[in-house]
Amino acid sequence: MSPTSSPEATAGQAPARHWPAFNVEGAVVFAVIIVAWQIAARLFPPFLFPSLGSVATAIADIFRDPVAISAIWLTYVRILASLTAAFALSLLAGIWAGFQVRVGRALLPLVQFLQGVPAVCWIIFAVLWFRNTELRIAFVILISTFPSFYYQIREGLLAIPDDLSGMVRALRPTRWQLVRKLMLPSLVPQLLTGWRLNLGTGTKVTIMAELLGGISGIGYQLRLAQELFRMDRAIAWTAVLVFFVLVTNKALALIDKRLLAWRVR
Amino acid sequence: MRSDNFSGNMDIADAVIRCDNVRKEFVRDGNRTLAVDGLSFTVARGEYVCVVGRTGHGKSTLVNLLLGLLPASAGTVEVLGRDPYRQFDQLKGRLSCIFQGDRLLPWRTVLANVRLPLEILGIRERTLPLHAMDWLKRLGLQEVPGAYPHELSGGMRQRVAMARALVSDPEVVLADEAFAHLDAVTGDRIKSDFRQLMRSSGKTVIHITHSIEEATTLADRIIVLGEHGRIRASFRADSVHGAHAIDELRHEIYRQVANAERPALSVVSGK
Repeated sequence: MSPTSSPEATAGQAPARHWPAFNVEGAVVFAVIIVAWQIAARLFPPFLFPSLGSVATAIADIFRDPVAISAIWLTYVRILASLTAAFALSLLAGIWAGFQVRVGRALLPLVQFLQGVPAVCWIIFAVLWFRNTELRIAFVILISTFPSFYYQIREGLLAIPDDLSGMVRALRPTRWQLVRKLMLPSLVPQLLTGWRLNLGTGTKVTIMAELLGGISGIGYQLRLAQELFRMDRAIAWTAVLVFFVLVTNKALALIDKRLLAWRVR
Repeated sequence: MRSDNFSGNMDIADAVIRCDNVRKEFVRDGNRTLAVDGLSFTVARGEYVCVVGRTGHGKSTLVNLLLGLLPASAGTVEVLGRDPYRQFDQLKGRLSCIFQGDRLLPWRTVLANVRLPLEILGIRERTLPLHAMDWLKRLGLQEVPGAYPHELSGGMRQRVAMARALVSDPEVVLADEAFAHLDAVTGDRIKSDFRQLMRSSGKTVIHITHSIEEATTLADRIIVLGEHGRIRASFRADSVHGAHAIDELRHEIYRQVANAERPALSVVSGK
């Protein structure tokens, strides 16, 4: 008899319950919010609580309007392109610091300083420094997400077990081989975590930058909705953003499953 | 038991491994630590030499010196006539190591782990007499080339590590406490297979171990390291037969290891 099936082992413990894949409890919470919203929509004016029907119409309008669709693409491309640039830069810096202790020591205070500055301050600096909107947004995303990526890479490199490193180094790899055969594969879990964290940060910062200093994109559309007291459109644009985050998270989960198939699950 | 000198009664010119008056110091924060001092021995081609000694008596430093991961502070270290630290390029693929613990890369499959040295050393698999898959077959791993390390037992993982060390067809194999973490039954089977493989392929082996029993079972010759890696004794084990003689040899090795903190009184040359 296995230890877990013995009466002694299970005595005093509640049997483990098998939970269904569909989260009923979560769905109930959403259903309650929807009902409450619909009641509020009957009691308050539409600029405070628009009906769910008008929100649905606003979402449909967005997908019918070529200008709105281009705003969506523009924001998504800004987020992904700037995050890719921040990722590449921090990967290079992190690996360089992994090879050269002096580089790591030089970068650490700078990264700590960057992390301490709120994103909204960078937006203000970017508006004052750069005339070009794309440059402003790219700068703010890059500077806001670089520390997080860098820390993940740094921690990942420090976590490489000495015995694995010693085994590979005994074969006298070139630096490039060391990066390809040992460092990058070891870093995959941390890199994926970095992307998960920074997709959220990048989305928030991009919308803020578009809201405060942009003339295009979803953030700019949100500002227009606010100026026109169009709560239905503001919610519709928010739904588009949430959809983006859900899709990118799903994509990351698929990448995770593929790249980390070797992990014990 | 026969007496022996540290060169195993061979001509120095035949030596595949030669350490001559080797000294290794480590300097940390201005403090010097002497790890190895006055280490001299040779190993002949095809010989299986076990090195035993207490913790802190320079066994790991010896492995690192032979692998060329550390330079000697003084003296000469030669493997196949080359300085492993300065001339490793000329030893690529000719010298390999089975480490303590399997040290398999967890993201690589069994086959990819075995092929790792070939990829790094730039050796084309088709130029070798035995391919990675052939080694897996020899070691009874032909069913699991696509498995990840976490899916294997400890014994299977160590067999993969053996295949990885042998895939480049090295002339010299270092085994650093290679079987120390395996249970007795698994360890005995793997040691026996390893000894058989080394003997049949004529490879030269230096095997670092804490286990006197392991050393007397596997080795042609056993070297006992004392303080600072100084050799206290060397025993020929290949000519020792019979349970009583083997027990006597083990007892003598144990006595030498246990007394290793005291300066060696004499070089044991056998009985």
